[in-house]
Amino acid sequence: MRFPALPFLLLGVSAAAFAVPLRYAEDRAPAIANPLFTTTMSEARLDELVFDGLFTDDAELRSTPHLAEAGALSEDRLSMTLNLRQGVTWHDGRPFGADDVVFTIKAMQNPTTASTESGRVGWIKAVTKIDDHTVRLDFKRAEFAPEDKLHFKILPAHMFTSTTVSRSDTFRNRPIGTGPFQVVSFNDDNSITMQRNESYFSAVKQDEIVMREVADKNYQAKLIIYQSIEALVRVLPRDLATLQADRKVELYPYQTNSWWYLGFNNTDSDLRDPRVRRALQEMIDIEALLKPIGTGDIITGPFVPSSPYYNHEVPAHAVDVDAATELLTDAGYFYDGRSWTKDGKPLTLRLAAPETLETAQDVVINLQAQFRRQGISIEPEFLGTAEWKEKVWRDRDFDLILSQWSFDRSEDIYEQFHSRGTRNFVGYNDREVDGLLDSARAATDPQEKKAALRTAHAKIAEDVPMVFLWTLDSYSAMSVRVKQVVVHPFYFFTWARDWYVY
Amino acid sequence: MTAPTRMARLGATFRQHPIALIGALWLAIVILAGLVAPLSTYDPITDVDPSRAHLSPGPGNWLGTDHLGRDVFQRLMLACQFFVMPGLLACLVASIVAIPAGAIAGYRGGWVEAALRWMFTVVASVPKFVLILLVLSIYGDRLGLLAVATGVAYSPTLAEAVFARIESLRSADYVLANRAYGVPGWRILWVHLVWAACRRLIGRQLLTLFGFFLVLETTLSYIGGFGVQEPMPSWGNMLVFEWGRDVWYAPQVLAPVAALWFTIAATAWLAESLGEVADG
Amino acid sequence: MPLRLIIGRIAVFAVTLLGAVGLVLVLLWAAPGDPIDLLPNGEELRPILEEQWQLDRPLGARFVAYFSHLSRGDLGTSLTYRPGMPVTEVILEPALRSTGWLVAALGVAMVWGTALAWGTAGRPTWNRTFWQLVSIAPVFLLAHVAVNGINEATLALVDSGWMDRPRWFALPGQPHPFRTILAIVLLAVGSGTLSEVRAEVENALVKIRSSGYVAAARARGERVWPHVALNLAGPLTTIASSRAAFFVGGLVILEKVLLLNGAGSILWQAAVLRDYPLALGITVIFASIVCTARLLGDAVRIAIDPRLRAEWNA
Repeated sequence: MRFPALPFLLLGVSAAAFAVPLRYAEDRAPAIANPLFTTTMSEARLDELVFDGLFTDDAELRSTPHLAEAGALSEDRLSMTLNLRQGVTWHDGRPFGADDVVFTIKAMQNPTTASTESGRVGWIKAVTKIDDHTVRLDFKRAEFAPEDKLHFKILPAHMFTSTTVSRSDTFRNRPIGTGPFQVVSFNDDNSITMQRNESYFSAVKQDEIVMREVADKNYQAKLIIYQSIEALVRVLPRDLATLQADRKVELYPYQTNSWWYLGFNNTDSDLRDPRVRRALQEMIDIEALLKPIGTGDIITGPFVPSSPYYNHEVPAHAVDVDAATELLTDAGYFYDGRSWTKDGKPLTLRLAAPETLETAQDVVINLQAQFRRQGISIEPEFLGTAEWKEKVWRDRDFDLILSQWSFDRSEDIYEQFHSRGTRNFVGYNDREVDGLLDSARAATDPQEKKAALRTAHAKIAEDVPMVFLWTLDSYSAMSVRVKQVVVHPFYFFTWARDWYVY
Repeated sequence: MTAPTRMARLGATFRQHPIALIGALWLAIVILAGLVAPLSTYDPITDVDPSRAHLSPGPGNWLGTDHLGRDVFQRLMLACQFFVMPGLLACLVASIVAIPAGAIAGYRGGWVEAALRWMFTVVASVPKFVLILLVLSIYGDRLGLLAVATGVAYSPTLAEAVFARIESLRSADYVLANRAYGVPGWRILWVHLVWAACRRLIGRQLLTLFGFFLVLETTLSYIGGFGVQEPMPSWGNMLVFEWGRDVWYAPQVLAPVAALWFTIAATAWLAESLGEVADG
Repeated sequence: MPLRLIIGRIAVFAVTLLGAVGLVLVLLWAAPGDPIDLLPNGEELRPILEEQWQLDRPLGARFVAYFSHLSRGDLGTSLTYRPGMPVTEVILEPALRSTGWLVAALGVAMVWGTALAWGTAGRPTWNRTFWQLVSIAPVFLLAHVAVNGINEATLALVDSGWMDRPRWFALPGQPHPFRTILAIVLLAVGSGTLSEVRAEVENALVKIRSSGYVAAARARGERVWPHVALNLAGPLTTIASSRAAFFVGGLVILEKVLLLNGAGSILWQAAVLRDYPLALGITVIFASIVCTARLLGDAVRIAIDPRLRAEWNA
């Protein structure tokens, strides 16, 4: 009968006619749409929409099969056989298969490709195609949970001539993935239009997604208030109040594994003395520093409080001016009424902070004020990326640094705190902690790893190579018109196939 | 009747152009503020007090306080030092580079003139702002470097102006007469030509350069990423207007705009008045 | 027009442009340390870059290499902004857009300035003072005042129901022609351009109106405006070609402030990201624009002024 069908037809037509794109804003457009060369979060988010990995996260952030349907780990844990999902096609219609997995891993490992993601496959010794839908991975060492490390994106072998891929490869202009959305056009104004992948192996609700580059963060919040975009990946703390008050916007909190710290140059003549470091720690009112820039949890060690490795028995410290005075006097400093001096010279410390860390400025200003009131002079320097690498990474030319560390799910703090770590800027060197970090890395039993890292947390907190500050609550903002939103704490779009703008 | 004294001529200039007098006075205040500011006891770092944000002008803070509770008037004054001293440095650099080059090119002529003028044209071919932005990103973002780079980038304009004037006077009667009398070339050039004939021209150009440097410094600090950064104040980074929070007629919002606008106008008026009185 | 003249001017243009490019190259290579150090991902790209940039070869050889690439239209490859993409591909369309806006702004400035001067020539009026005051502001200040003023006014009108929310609201967040037009207008007005054009045209008009040949033409009953137009063309061309460099700087600032997608905004990103081939490429393009404007200005002036032609012929 035609009559009943008509209303539904009209509804369908009108729905299609009024299909609303989901527009989100990035500070800087992705520089390159090729997962082999991802360097920024903006690129990672685009990859999340356009490509898939063998495994992905479920709503509880546990690994779940995605392009791989099942994985069988061998008894000796030295290899794994993956059964790939059938019926998956690339955006250009070609079928997905084992060749693609083999190609991706080999390309990532190829030194001439100089992939930025090569570290993610360093633990795989060999990858072999068993048949079109089965792949075997051999590991260098026994692996406990390899699926956690198999989230990297898979690339189409048929789009490349060899596993040596260069950045100028034309793939960047026409990225082909298996993901829920495919890139339709790179536009003149640096925006990217993506449309639903009709042949995706699970239902994709949203029709179109547009990435817009809005270089000035001042405008991003205003755009969402005026409904010119539907999603803002990270809201600046100063815009939180405005967005919270707006009824057309919904805020979604999420926590990343990142925390702020005030690092000491442990090799510096003044700061080598642990009493000086502890004294400085006693002078800082961390809550007062945090309050103006946002909300979060104050931490006592190198993990976020929700981490299994966080040692909750380490007490948070409170401001204790008397203790600070005692410690400094012990260490040979003299307070002349205005400032702390040693051998007649007032204690002056140079603080380096990265230009790119938002709100660091406000923290530095307040920190300066706090120290100044207690007789210590701080000379801040805001460094650009190149200068940061030179002064902090290479020359260790600073007394204090204010910065932030971000970790992935493995929360491996080896590089930052081991005496042989490559990012141990503060120059921390402790035999006991070295041993604990070594055993944490080698541990196959998660309980062992937990115990080692919790002890490390306590020891590091005691030695004060840096003052641990906080982990900042992050919020993303979405228009209330976007339904069924669940936001991934790191990659944002992992579950975007369920989102729908109405 | 004797020729009017220099003071009398100055008085005449300002009577004809009262606006120039206002401009000169304002500039003098600004330059004084800029030179004296480093000695002030105001500390932009410890002045932060969010509980005293957005106060109206009152006895303690003549222009009110900003969103972090800082005294706007004091910040306005303190900001002067970031363009006065470097601005004067830029003028010095431009003078050292451009005046001898322009003067020699104008006086000697021939291949010296051609070569020097070609160099001016080459430097002038790269837009000043682009050149300065490049230098800052390659060599680091320092105020002193900004001043030197601006001076060098502005040199072609100054040099061409000096060149044009001196070239036109090269074969003037009094110059030839001086040469005939055996006055040494350098003395003719520097005393009779550059000083006597060009000084007002140079003054005009340097005033314009000073204004240009002010614009450059405030532009960079307004846009952010380069130039004077917080917590140090600059008339550029004080130009903040947050909707829903600020009203456009608040002193905190208007003051930096007015200060910047008025100072640039002052340099322009003064330069104009210097130009309208006949050069020697 | 004599061929010698044209070739002469083009030769000057070429040599000057090469000089400008050379200047910028020297600036880059004279930087302390290794240019690779200055890149955010330098260590990762070091082996590739050292070979590509031939950093071990002497300065002279590197100059020659750069210019030989340049003559083939190869401006190098972007390193950090769009890694791997040839610079020409990155900046071709944005550069065309920027040039378009530049030319438009020059046009607006000339027409507007002439119109203003026509109305006020010789007479002191508030009109002149007003525009002088407005024009004297730097472009970023004008943009700041204009954007916030327009937004506030529009918001008030929309909230009180006088108008619907316009599509370009809120400036400068939305890509809309209004934003571009505003940029062109601000560029034409700001940093003293408008008042300078007006002043020059006014001077020329005063001279023309009181000149003998115009009076003679009027007496003969001929039309006066061709004389006026031709005599205005000279000063206008001089101003336009000399202001080109200034405009480029202003455009770079306005593109950043108003979020336009021209070569200027890419230059900012290249500067922040230390993407030297890209920054160099954009600078080369801008220098070419300035030199071309100068060349065209010379050509027009020589074409319309018989005296100059005679001088060259002699």
